Amino acid sequence: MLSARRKSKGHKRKPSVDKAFLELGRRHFAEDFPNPTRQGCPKADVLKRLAEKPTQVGDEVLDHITLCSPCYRTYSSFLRELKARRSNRKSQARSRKQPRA
Amino acid sequence: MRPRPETKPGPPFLLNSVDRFGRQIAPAVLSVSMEIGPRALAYAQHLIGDPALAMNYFEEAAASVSAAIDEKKASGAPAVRNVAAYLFRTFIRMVDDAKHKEKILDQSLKESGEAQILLSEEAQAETAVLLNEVMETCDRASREVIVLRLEGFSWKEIGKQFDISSHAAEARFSKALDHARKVFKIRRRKG
Repeated sequence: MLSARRKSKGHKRKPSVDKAFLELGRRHFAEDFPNPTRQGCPKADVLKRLAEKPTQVGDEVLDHITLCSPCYRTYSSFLRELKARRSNRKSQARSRKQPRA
Repeated sequence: MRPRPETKPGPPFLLNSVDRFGRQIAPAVLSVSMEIGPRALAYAQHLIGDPALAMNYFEEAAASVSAAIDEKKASGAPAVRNVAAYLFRTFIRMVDDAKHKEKILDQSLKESGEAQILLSEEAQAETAVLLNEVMETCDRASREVIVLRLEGFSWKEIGKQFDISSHAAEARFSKALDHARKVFKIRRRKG
């Protein structure tokens, strides 16, 4: 009830950081550090592991992706894959829970 | 089949062993500088435009890192774990500072018709500076939270990744940004 009343009065919670900041930040890491010769880049499977099991990967890889745009973009694509896989799993589990008509 | 066009090798990357203030660059730092120099300069050129100025900043950064390494050795503080990343971050901080000073000079133009473009550029530069500061000063967990948030993960998803609540994830994010802002302000005041 309380939350409904709040919403109707326009007391919506303000987002802590706006979308523009997130978009600019993403663009900064994805574009501002070109590394055409791919100096010091880890292999794709290391970046994949950083996306899926970050604790298994050393600090230097995280350091590297924030200073190398090509690696950041690869890492970003692995994150998107992971996100898609998780949401697929969720929707499958939901459909299993629903009783058949 | 069309023959592949031959790619010309770029000019060799040359670096002085002293910066413009006459400070020495240690041989170990110099060799790392030669490795990361070309791409560090590409970043700076993108921001400040002038390659000669970028080179000056790079030499300054290398000399500062050499001095910092010596100081750490002398005081018995833990050594720098990744000299390349340390140097890169020192350099981009210098470039970011230069960009900020340039922005102050440009402020009088804000009232002209180009105000909109300048403001968006300003926001871009501010964001870059703040995120570089976070990556330099914050702990690993905070850095990961920031990257995941930038990549569109919800607080709930980030919380799950680190076995914390969504509120804790959000708090970690805000705390990291606040901390970076504070460090940034202190650094500015020091000049």
